[in-house]
Amino acid sequence: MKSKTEQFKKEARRALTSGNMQLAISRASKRFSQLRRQAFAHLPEGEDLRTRAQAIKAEAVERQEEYLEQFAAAAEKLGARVHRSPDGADACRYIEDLARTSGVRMVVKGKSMTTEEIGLNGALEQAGFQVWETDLGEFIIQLAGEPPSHIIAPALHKTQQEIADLFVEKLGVPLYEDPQKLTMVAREFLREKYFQAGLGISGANFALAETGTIVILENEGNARFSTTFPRIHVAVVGLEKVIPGLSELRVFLKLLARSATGQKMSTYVSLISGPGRKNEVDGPEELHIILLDNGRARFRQDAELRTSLYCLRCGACLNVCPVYQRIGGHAYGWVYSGPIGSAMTPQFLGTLRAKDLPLASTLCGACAEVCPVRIPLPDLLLTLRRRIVEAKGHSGWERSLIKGWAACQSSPGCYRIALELARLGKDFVPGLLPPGIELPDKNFHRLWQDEYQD
Amino acid sequence: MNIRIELLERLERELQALQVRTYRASDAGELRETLAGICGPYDRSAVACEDRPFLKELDLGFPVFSAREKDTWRAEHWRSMQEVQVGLSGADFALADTGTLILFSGNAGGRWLSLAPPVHIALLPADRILPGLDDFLDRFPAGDSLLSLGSAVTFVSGASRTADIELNLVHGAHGPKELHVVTLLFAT
Ligand code: SF4
Repeated sequence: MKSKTEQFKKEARRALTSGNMQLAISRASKRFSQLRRQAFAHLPEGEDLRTRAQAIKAEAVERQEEYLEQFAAAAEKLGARVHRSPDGADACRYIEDLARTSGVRMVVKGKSMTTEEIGLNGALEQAGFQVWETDLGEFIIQLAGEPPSHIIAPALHKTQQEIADLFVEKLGVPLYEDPQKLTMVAREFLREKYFQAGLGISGANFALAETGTIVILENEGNARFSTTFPRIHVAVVGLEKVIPGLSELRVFLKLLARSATGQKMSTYVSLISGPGRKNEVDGPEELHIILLDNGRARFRQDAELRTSLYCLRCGACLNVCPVYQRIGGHAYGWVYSGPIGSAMTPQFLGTLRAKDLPLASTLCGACAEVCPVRIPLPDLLLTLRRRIVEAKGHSGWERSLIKGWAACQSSPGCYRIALELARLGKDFVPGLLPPGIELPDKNFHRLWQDEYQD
Repeated sequence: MNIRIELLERLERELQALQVRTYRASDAGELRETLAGICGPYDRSAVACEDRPFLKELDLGFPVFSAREKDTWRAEHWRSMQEVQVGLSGADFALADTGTLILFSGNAGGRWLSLAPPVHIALLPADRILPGLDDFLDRFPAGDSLLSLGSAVTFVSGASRTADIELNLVHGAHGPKELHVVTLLFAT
């Protein structure tokens, strides 16, 4: 995916003024958060599971090479072919070559952030293959030519009306007004594609070293279709997805769906071990597993940031983030958005290129509170902020400003005067506050004095 | 048969919360009646029954979908998909805590019978109900014993669903629109 992360400020401002989208995103993220909260309220061992999940990931990342070797050996024994890709370009090339030599013309895809990360669709299309995203949300944004706006609900920003119009325009169907009908249009349209496609691509949520199994979670069934009917199945798996085995998997299966959508289990959890077998009635004839580095080995060496590799891509941190709730995923300018996007994008693309992202946080800590693998997201953002400053240095006026701010903060009187000035100033200086931000009538000090003291 | 009624009730509660319809059958006759009820709107020929030994013995009178030739299965599946409205399969295990069915692709129905037809009916022997995920995974302490079960072990919790259009829940995004679970209270 092409990056627009340099334009974060501009895009964020645009998002803030686009009422519809902002409403859709804040509604959806609040709903997901609420569902998550309810799910964890019924899971007394939830906190303990999160601690265990973190410990498992820490160990798995620590011994990653060992587990990857074990995984590759086990998967190959089952008849899968395992390929290590140092970067996205290599992974794309591998799949292109495979498709070409196998005489494939059409490719179907299950939802995978990792393939978004390496821009696989664009590469395959450019090479002359027809590519279909099959997850409904991904299908919608593919037709619209837009990037995903949320890790688990990529078309969150589109209204029903927009989707109805899009289907009329791109698929030539009548104008349908309800989600049920629209979903059925996509169902029927994509059904035959699973059979026409020679190659199906998926990501993986986990790779089990012990057995060479890949694990895919989904709700729609499109990943099951894409990994069953095409003759060749290619799974693109980030190096960090490897965990020891089944006894570790159970911890994540209890956490992941609950964190993402509040479901006790995703509708479908597929444990795929090798290609279809001789005694089975269906399943792909070939399974290729691409273990993708694309920077991950480097992130692993970074003692301060390596916890970001624990991420399960559940989206919980996006949903609770006051910044994400207001600006949505597009403003972040690359695949991963929200707090985890702010922590990952600078590592993928370079600290200075994505220098605005770590700043787009109130450091309220809500993300770390919900993360199923307890990634200390605010600490990661602080580390990145420090590195940005180290890399580009402070300008003179920034330094004076910070000194002034510090002096002001340490004197209560001065602090109060500054606040009042800001309150007055916002009426006279348009644009002093970002759009959509209101100051309350009384600040906290006042409120306390007037109403709560004694 | 040793039936833990408390487990069965928990499973049914969870399934119903996922909008799955649940039934019980205490003998083959009841099962036939239940199936006739569910399949009522469809032609008998639109039902594909999995080729499992215990289903064969029950002799339910539906067309049996059996293993096909390796090089023609895709074309045959595609053709069947145009005709088959109901997939009738066994369930290998169920988890009461989460309302989950576990299906092994190593069985005759493979992966597609529980996936492609708009209606999926799973026949679950009552002694295959386990409390939760741990109880299932503990049966495979060595890990690779799981591999013998098939190239795809699938956990199914409810019918296919999506909420990608303004968070409206729609069933049957790609997989089945309806899921029915019939628990068999007799030895199979
Ligand atoms: S950082 Fe944590 S909360 Fe955010 S997506 Fe990753 S696993 Fe989920």
